[in-house]
Amino acid sequence: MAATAGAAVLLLAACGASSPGSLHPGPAVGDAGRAEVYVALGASETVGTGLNDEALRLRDTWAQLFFNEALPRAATMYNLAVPGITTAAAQQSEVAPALTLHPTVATVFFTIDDLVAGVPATDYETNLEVIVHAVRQGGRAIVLVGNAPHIDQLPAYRACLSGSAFCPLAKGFSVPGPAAVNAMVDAYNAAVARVVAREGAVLVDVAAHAADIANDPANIAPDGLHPSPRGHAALAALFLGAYQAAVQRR
Amino acid sequence: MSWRDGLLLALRSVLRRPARTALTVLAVALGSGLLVALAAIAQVADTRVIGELGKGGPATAIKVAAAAPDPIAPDSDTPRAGAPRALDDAALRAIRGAPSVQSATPVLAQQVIVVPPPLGRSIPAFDGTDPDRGLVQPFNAVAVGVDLNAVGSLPVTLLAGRIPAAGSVTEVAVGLDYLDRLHLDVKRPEAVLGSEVELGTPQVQATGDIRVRARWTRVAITGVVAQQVGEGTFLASSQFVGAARSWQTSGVDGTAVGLPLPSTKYSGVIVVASSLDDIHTVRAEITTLGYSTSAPEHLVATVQRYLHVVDIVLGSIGLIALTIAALGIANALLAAVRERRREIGVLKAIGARDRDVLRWFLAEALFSGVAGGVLGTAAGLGAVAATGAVVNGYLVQQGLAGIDLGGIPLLTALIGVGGSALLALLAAAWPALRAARLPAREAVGVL
Amino acid sequence: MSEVLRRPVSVPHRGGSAVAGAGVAVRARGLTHTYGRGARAVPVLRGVDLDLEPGSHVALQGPSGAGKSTLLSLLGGLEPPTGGELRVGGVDLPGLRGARLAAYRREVVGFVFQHFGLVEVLTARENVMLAMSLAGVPPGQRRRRADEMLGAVGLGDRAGHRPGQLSGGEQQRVAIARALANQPRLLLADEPTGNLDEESTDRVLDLLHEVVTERGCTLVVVTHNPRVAAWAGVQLHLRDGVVHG
Repeated sequence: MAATAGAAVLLLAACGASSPGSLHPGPAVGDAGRAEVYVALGASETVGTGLNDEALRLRDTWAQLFFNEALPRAATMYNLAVPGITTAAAQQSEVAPALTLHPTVATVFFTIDDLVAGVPATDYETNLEVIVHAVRQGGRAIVLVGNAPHIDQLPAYRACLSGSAFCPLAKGFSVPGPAAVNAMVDAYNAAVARVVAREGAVLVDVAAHAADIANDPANIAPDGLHPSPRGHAALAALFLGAYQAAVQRR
Repeated sequence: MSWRDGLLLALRSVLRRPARTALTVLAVALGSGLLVALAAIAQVADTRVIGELGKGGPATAIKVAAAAPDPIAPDSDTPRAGAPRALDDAALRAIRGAPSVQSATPVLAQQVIVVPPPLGRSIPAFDGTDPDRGLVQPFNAVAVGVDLNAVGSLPVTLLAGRIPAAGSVTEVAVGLDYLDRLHLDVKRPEAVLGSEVELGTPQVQATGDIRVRARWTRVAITGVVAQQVGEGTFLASSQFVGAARSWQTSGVDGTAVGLPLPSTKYSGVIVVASSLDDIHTVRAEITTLGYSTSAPEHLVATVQRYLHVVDIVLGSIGLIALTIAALGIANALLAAVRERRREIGVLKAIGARDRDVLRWFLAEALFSGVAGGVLGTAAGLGAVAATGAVVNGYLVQQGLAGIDLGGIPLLTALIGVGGSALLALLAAAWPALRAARLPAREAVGVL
Repeated sequence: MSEVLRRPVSVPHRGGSAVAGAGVAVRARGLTHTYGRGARAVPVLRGVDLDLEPGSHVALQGPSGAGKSTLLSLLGGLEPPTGGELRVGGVDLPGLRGARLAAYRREVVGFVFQHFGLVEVLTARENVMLAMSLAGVPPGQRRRRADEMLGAVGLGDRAGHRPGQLSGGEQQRVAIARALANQPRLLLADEPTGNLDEESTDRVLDLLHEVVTERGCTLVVVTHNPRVAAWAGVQLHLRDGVVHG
């Protein structure tokens, strides 16, 4: 038996050894593209507030859609948005961490929260300019700045106006009339336009498409205030269009 | 008579009885073919089974956990890990410095949020009724990061596609559980190759309100693997996992709330011992360093014993076949001697010595041996290749790695042919001696 | 002492000339040969006395079973005799065994068989060359000499044929060429024409006569053919294992 085993071992030693290797040619993985760093600065819309379903929030938030549509696979997105934040507070909690990431693309979308907090348009303009100036890093980043749609048709606003329980604002908080609100929004948007012009940023003119964004009930989430998935898709399309135009201009 | 004349005479004689020669050659071919095939199959089975124990990596791989050793049975194959114990660079250096350690590859692990495709505007529109729209829900998973250059020494089995490029932060491999999650057929792992998936890493800010910020990346799936490097759905470069990890930890201000934070730099280390015999020593060494290890040490030893028995059985079957072939050669030669008594006598009468006749018959056997050996070895190797192809098809269908039979093993071929020739000579020894000792008077047929 | 008994055993070279050396003398005294032992012993030769001059031509006759073939095989060194004295050209045959007996067969004797004894799988030329090869003739000379031999027996144009492609007479002539290949001094023929038709018989016997005369070798031929009796100088009758002059 020993001789048998010996002969078998002798023959075995001659055989080819198995080695790990690629079974199939690798899949056709496209070019990963430029390693863009995208930071999303903003408030509740950018986080996805109103999209109460986790699946919706992770897939359908406009910033996610923009990231997945506009930027190559090598890009990284940091969503630094904080719900309910104003431009003043964002300088500390969003802009500071954003700068450590050295972004090459940034979206800046602060609107209603400053308005609700009663921030004067002049202060809003100052704060926004600080943000845009810092994030742009002297031209390193393409900065997209969104303005605000008129909100007089928003169910939440109308609920507050009529004193309905549906109003998200604290009880006893009285909202101004539609005309006054629209005037404030216009003042904010004028500030946005000036900041964009001064800083060499890119305007995403949400106000111009308010009819599609804020006035269509299908674009509003059940909370009557934030965008629905359809609203997010419409927002994302605006940011995408503006970004692509800006890239082409570059 | 020179060998040359002997060979000529033998060749002519062999050709004179084509049917008998064909049968003899066939018998040798069958024997050598069977032996070569069985040997090759046994060898493939050995590497395959041991390889399977090593989960695609070296069978000498030892997993070191970020935990203290089990105080009761530290050298069991899969011990219960003790209390968590951080694995840092100092520990890694100590492990690398231990004797008989061939390599030590640190493993990073990071929890990720997985958003499976579709992504972007290709998402079906939300009609307000079903927020999921039949899409796969995002889920939590773990990405395991290693130096992908060292993947050959890690327990990773490639099932489809390829391992991501070393250092790539845009490519990953997935485990079969990913296909499960996506409700895909695990028997068709190719389906996910080339697709993209979005992976997010949350960062917890504990000041005031709990805030979660996510870092998002999109990666392409280049391969499907079965891996035992760490418990994770994704196998990626250490760069990819390291970046996600550093994002997660950088935002923490020390008052972590919500997500559990990793307490160890490396979630594990895969240590490869210099040889199977060194596994025990290396494990003992690492236990001394204070870490829990697991390795299929006892399993490998047991399986090796069984495989050895299988080798012996298969080898014996082959040798029995060859022995039968040898008997066939001997029988055919005896018949030849019987029918050539007078011819042998004449040769001796005209001066042939015993050794001349011996050469003639040995040369004749040599022809059968070499011809049968060549034929049998070729057929045996062909059979192995064919079997290999069938087995490969099955293994891949079962979601397992295929086997690589290598090229034509030259040494096996040489041994197959040479062995048959040697065997033929051995088998021919007795008939040839009988022929050599026939008296010269056979020529005149006296009595 | 003959060259046969010297070591290493080698072929005597005679310059490749067609002219052979002289034949050998043969002397036997009380030569006996028995097959088997004890109760089964079959005595075949019971005391043969023989004296042949070098170059003599002997026709050996006798009834079947008288021991003609046995005597021939003893003379040819196919086996050692079981008793008596047998000297061929000074070689003491009973003292030879194994390789030395083979060397004697190669160097002294040429054998022609009734059944021709050609190797079926070899051509006429190769048969002749095989004998030379056994005798250690350098490979370079074998072919030329084989063709010479075949030419001498009138088969120069049949050298490439195998025995199966030749007639009986032609085969026997090839056998004679082979027997002469190493210039034997004793040519032994065991009923060389026993398997031949009349015409071939005449031709083979004439050839045999011609070559032994020309080469001067001693010839012992077992035959009943009257033609041989005509030219053989010695007529021997073997009966019951004893020679009757």
